[in-house]
Amino acid sequence: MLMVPSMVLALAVTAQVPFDTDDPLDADFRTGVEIGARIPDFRVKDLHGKVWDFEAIKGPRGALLHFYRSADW
Amino acid sequence: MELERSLEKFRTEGLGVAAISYDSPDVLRHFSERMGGFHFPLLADEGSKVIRAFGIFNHNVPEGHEFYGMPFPGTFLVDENGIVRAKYFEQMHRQRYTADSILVREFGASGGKRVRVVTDHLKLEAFPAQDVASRGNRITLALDLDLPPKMHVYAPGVEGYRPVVVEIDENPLLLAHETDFPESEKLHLEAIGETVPVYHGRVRILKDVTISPRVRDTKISIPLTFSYQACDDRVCYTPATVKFAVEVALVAHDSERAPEALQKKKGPGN
Repeated sequence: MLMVPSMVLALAVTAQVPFDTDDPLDADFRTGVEIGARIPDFRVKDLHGKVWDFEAIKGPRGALLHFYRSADW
Repeated sequence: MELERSLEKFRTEGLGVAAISYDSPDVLRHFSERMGGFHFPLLADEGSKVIRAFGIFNHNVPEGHEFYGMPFPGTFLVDENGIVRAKYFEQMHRQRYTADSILVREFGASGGKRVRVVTDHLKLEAFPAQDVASRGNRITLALDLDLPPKMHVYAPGVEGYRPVVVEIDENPLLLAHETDFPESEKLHLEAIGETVPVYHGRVRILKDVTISPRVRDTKISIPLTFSYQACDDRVCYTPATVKFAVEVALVAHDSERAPEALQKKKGPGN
């Protein structure tokens, strides 16, 4: 469920409220692979050097892939 | 990371969980030790290859900057065949969907403490996705309506009657998002030859609220106004409004950084 457009609309009328609204880091915001599309293949190491791909991560019904800015932020 | 707390709930739904950042394994190890360990993989996408492949590379950060390589943050819900089924992205800095909100939205999870309201026409239970959150979180609030047999309320889009409305009362520390209503039923009123959108029985309505990063208190009360017009097979009642509040406790973010030796170096010109 993607709600970016309603968020932008809400901001237009509540610009004075204490929310961060104009962070240059958020310009031209993108949310990547579309709903209904297949994710790209990937292989990536974890903190212990073990290599993971989607097959290794997923459970019987799939997976939650959480991208965050940094653990050091 | 908040995901750790919700991990078992996602596993119960048959989902694996992974968290991906551009940090080095050293930074992730330090983070993991500082936070008491994680029971899902923290993946070190050094060079941001995976972040680029998913199309969420943050091109606003200039090359050479300390934060070059970071993504637009968000969460993909992917099915067992690798197809994206839902996405949770938050445009504004430091605001993000909580794992518990995703659980309520995608899997009907039971969430936090319930507030019960009984009116002349229906019962209502409201709850936040979680009882404890961080400032800046976007949290889903659920309203469960329970209507007695033969009673209905009007759904959005109705004409000539008052539809169900959920509002968060004006508060500079709360940002209300649009209400998500379920599909309505079509009721044919033979006497007047009209078909109107209504809700019967049990109905769940969802509304998100973002809590300002600048709340100073250790909890926040979220005041809600719920309006509706109910009818049964004999009478249409006067439109009604009820007010109530759900409460969420607030805890601090992890703001500690990795030791300086592990931090990404700023390039020249920054």
